[in-house]
Amino acid sequence: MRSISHNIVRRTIAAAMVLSLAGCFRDGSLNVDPNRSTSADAAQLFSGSALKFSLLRAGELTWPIALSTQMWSSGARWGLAQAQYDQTRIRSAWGAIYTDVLKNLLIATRESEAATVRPNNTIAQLKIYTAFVYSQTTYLWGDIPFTEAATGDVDSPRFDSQQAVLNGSIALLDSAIALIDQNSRSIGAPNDLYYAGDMAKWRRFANSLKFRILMTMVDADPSRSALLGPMQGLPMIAARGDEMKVQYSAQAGRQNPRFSFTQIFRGGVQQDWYASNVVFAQLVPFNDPRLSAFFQTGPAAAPGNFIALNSVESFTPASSLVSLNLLRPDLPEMSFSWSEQQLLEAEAIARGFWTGGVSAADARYRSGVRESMSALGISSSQVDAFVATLPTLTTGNFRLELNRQQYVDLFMRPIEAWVQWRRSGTIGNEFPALTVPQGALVGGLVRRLLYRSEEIAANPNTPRPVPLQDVPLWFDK
Amino acid sequence: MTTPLFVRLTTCVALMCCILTSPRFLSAQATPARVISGRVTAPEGNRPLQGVTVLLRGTRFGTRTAADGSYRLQLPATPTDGVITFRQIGFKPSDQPINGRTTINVVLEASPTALTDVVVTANAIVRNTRELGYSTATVQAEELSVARSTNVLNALAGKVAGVRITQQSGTIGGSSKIVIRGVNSIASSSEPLFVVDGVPISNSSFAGTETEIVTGGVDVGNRAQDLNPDDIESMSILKGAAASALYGSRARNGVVIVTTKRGRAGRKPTITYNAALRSDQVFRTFDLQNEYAQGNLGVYNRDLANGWGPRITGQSVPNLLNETVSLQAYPDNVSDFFRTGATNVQSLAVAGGTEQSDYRLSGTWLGQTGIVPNSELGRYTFAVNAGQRFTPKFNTRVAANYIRTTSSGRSQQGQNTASIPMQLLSSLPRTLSSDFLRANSVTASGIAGSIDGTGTSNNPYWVTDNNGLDNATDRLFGNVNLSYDAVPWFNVSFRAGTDLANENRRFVTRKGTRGRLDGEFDIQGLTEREVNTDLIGTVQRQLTGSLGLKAIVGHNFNKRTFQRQRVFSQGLNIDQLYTQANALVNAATNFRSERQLYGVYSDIGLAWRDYLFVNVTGRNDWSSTLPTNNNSYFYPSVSSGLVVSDALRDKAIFRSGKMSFLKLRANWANVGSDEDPYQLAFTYTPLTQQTDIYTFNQLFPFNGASAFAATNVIPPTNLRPQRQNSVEFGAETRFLRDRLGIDATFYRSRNYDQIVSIAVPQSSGFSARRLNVGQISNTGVELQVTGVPIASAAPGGLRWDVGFNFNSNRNVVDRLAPGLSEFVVTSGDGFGIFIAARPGTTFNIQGVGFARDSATGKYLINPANGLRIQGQRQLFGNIFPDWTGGVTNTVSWKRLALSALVDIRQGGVFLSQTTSQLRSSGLAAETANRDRFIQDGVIRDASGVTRPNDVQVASVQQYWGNLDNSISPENNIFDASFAKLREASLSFQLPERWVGKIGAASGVWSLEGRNLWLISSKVPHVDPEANVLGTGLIGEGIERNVLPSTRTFGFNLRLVF
Repeated sequence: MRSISHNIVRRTIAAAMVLSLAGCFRDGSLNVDPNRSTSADAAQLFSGSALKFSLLRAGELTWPIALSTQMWSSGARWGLAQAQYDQTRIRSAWGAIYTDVLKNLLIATRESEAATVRPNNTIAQLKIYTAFVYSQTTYLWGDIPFTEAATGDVDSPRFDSQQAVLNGSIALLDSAIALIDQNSRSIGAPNDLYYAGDMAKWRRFANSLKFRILMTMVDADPSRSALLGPMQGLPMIAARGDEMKVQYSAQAGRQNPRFSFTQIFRGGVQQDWYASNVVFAQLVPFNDPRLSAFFQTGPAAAPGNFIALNSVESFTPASSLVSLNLLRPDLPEMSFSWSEQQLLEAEAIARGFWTGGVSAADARYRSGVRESMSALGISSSQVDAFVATLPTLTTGNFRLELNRQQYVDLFMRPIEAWVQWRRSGTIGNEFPALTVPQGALVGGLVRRLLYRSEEIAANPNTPRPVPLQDVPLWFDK
Repeated sequence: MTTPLFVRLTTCVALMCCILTSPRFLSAQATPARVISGRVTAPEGNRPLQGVTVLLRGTRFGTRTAADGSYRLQLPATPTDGVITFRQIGFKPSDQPINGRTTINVVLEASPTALTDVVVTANAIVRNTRELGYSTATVQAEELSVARSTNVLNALAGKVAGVRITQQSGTIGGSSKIVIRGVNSIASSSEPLFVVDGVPISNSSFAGTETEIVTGGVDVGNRAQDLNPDDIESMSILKGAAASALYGSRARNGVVIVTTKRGRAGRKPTITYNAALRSDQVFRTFDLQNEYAQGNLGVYNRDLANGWGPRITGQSVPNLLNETVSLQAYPDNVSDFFRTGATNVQSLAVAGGTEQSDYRLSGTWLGQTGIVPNSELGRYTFAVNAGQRFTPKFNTRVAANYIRTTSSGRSQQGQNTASIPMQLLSSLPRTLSSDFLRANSVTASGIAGSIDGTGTSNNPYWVTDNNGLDNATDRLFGNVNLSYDAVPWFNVSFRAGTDLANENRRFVTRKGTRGRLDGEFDIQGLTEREVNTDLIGTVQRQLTGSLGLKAIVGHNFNKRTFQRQRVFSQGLNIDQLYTQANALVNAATNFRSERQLYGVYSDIGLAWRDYLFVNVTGRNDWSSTLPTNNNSYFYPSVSSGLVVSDALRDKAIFRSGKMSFLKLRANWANVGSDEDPYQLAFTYTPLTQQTDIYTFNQLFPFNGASAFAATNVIPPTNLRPQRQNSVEFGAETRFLRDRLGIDATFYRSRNYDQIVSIAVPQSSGFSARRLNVGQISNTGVELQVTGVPIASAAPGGLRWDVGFNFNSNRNVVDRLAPGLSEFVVTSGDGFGIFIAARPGTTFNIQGVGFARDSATGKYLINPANGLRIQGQRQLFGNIFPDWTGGVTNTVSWKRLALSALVDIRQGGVFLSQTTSQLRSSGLAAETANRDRFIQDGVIRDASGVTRPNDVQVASVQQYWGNLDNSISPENNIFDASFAKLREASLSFQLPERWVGKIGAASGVWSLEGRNLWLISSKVPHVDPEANVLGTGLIGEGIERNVLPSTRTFGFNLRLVF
């Protein structure tokens, strides 16, 4: 017994000494994360960034903006505070755009540019999408970090002026378009959620985006018209198949977030987003059939009896609501539509940036409205009948008529509709006319988003004093 | 290993070697003139006692008894007389005048309070508390099982100064947070280390991410609840870093040392049977109005779930089924939802031993039904603890515990899903009876019923009938200990332990649930494993008659692994078939981590004349989680205890017995600690989903595309170990022949070089940068007073014991990163609030307040509607208490004993978002007055001139809506102070002639209760201790739709055969 125990003790001590000698972790291999990689493919970074940005546009950046810009009415329910410009529901967008979207796009671009065989098409796709994200971001917040942003190299990036951001975005697009090369590798299906790697479509979108950005700049910087002219005739979005959009589906986990909101919080019963008198005024007097495509009657209303509300007015059971068809799970998240392209072209022609005169503008205008309605599933006979009632564009009426159709066309696309509203006329003369809602947090109409408090607190380069929501952005003249 | 470290270690070892090899140490003591010898035994069976200190009082002449109880004390020629003191842990000391004797045999009487005099310290070493240079506290087995809670940590509440227990919720098998002497980190958990029989075990609580916890999270419990009170001999709390330096990094937050029960060598088998039955009821339900129906501005509207409709006067209205009914209030419709829970605990243990062995085997079954319908918990525990002395020198011990816990029907808490029972109950119209709700939990079309006419919300009975979390945990922890006395003064021991926990969870939302009409379920498997070994050499020797030495050198290896497999499934084809093949979409994720640590340590303890004790410890760790060039760190401690009453025993104050005991103690420690695994490299995460603030998850692969994202945390460069520096001073004294005892401690700890992810502007592309930064400190006092106001000398006479404990801890975030003015500790995403710290403050609840007039401090009122105006983001106060205390009274007389524990908290703030919900929905009793009024405040005109508010609120509904909106928490932040009757028990020692009839030797029957009475609280509607953040997140003091805690009442029977 004694010798056995001695042996046990001796062996145990020996084993423990061996263990002790092993302990210094000199190679660090034990601390290599088995759950994450130390490199990633550009295609994978792109799909993650793109879906995040689409999610932000369709979700967090939809409700507060649609309510505060009076595209929707709150019914004095869930969205009341947001209709009064409260921004606490836009919590993650600022940060997520930089950390989850732009940073990954920039890393993917850098890695691709450093590759032995440069995948020029991939770089072009990344740059075009980066330009899209930056332009969207500056339309919301104005001056934003651009040149020093999202690289990790600078802890507190400088804020660039909106003009610089938009010009920088155009420069990105120009360099991307120059890179497009039929023989290089692109991000293809399924990671390219928009065009499945079709570089012809990416080129068309890049041109359309540049065109759209220039159209938003030209009021504040007339010199940009010089860039607009040469764009006429370039390949741009020219069919529904060219549209920039993410296709959601009815499948759980792939549904449009607008559907998810009603589904999760309201058991599938739409009771948050009400018809706004502002939109009504552009539809009802003109017997626009889009009325019944946009809205559904209240549960207590007679069939066909549409009743709209002012932005903070209390709902009644008869109040009309945003149609569930526009909150359906498989609704695409649209970033650039063919109808929008045609109406912008009509504007460029009518304003003389492009050639063709008012008659050419009128044709493009009618085609744009027709597409806007058809895309909603409105029958061709109804479309024909309505388009026939549209006044012919003249030098006297084109701003008003185009403004109206551009605004209506962008229903359910609150970011673009807000840009359209701000550029539709000089300060105080925008179309449609809005009034400051009762209880609004600022005295004027909402014209920008507040910078996120975390950024204000952490980044000394955030503009001071921090501009409130009613201070116009550079492009909003 | 760096050179200075090597030097330090070498110095430690060299010092010990010098002592051990010194001629003085190796030689015999001074030539004696006479020798006194004898034998020391315990009363039962004449059992020899080894290691008894034998000391000639007032001198340095002493020795210890051998294994057979014998001793041989060599004394000088003069003085010829004197008193020899025999002292042993667990026994009353015995003073024996020599009176010319040369043989003195002593029988030491077991001390009934003996266990309060000993404490299990680092590495399962039992030490007399008089030797310690730091503060400890021990809670005995009987105290842990009074009015037992399913989570044994709750039994510590209010009993130990400096230890705070916060129960998350009333969820069956729910979690409890334990914090000792304040939080030590702004960025990581401050939970103490749990050690069972010398081996660390896990107290993890994996409840998900921050967002998952606050948006429909479930209280899944913490793993310390697997400890079975029936198997615990004692729980010792080592509060400071000096007490725990030998455990290394994780012990900087304190250590909870659990010693399990074991058999006694030489004892016949004894069988202990324990039965506990109890009932659980809701501790506190909402205080509701019963005068107003649902609606808007006084007009009835069945579509709404609130109380803003008309006064209830029996008027005829359509109900949810479109039937015309007479409006009526149902005052109990919320409280009726809860049922009386029941708990049944049956425990059987057999213990005994031979001369060379001991054993204890036990089995315990716990069955519990919760207060929430369909919630249940079952737990089996099997424990074995056996020791065998193979030879006089070689000892072994094996201990193992297996616990299987199954539970079902754990409900969601927080907000942002439609399946949270407490959210539904806090918006339940007063006019819906529980009978109606029960009868209409399912609609005719087979989906969930609702509490509002638009069908937004679910019927709460549907939720508890169909949805919730079930889990099953298998836990095995234990250890093997080999001990060899190589020579009488040198022992080498090896201890290896493991802790394995495997948990399977299934959270289901039935098809037809509003908000999740297609149904979904989430299956997770969590496996946690820890292996720990210690090889320890111990030298114990009386170096001289006055100087004793105990030196320990040890080596430690620790390895922890964690694995998680998860499949989230959505869209069920067949109702209630929760298998992944039945789901339209399955999203699988897995995670794995491993960390290892090696440590070497030494503890050199010197005892001078049995009244002055000094311990010096040193430890060096190598951690796998730190950079390879900086993964080694050394940390030392020094502690000392001086028993003044023994050193100066001839002084009048001690001789007279006015002050029977006085001890001073002091210690200093500096503890290093490592980092979580895998924090050093720039990595890319494969994405399983993109999510937004509303938790609308887009799953990958999305339309076939998978995705990656780069880390949002800039990895650290030149990372160093974190550090904690602490000092402690204390005094322990007893007066009036031990009738009054006071133990006071002052401590201060500074935690610096914290490894923290500090927020950077997100426009940089990253949300944080990880680095060593900042300092957080705790300064506090502890007071433990015991008194015996009445102690009748007669056997069974009246005795009254009073205990009082007090702790005041001041936690301060001394500094953050340069230029950083605020650190967000926990962001309650979805709450509109968060917990934040600024330099010079502690953890505060932060949020947007109401604007105030700077001159008068009054609220600014909007003249348009008479309501308050939203102001700026601000701090609303410290979430930690100013002080906490507990008062225990025990009165015993003959066979009866009556005891009560009152638990007190003073100060700190508490945010109740359930109160906010009850108020903004017009259901809280305080909303019952619907007369418009003018609230206190001032109106400021455009020119800045103010006047007292003279505008009536637009309506009472808008008044409460304005105060209790989701943006500003200000109106729902309350003083968190409370006093609770935490425990009460009446026990009766059954007469031997009664229990003898069934063959038992003894028995105790007791009537017990827990959380019996909320004596005072400033928080309305809910338990002021509720905490939605649970144990998984840093911070506390925020409540939102957590299940109410319970009041427990029952009885216990213990029989020993």
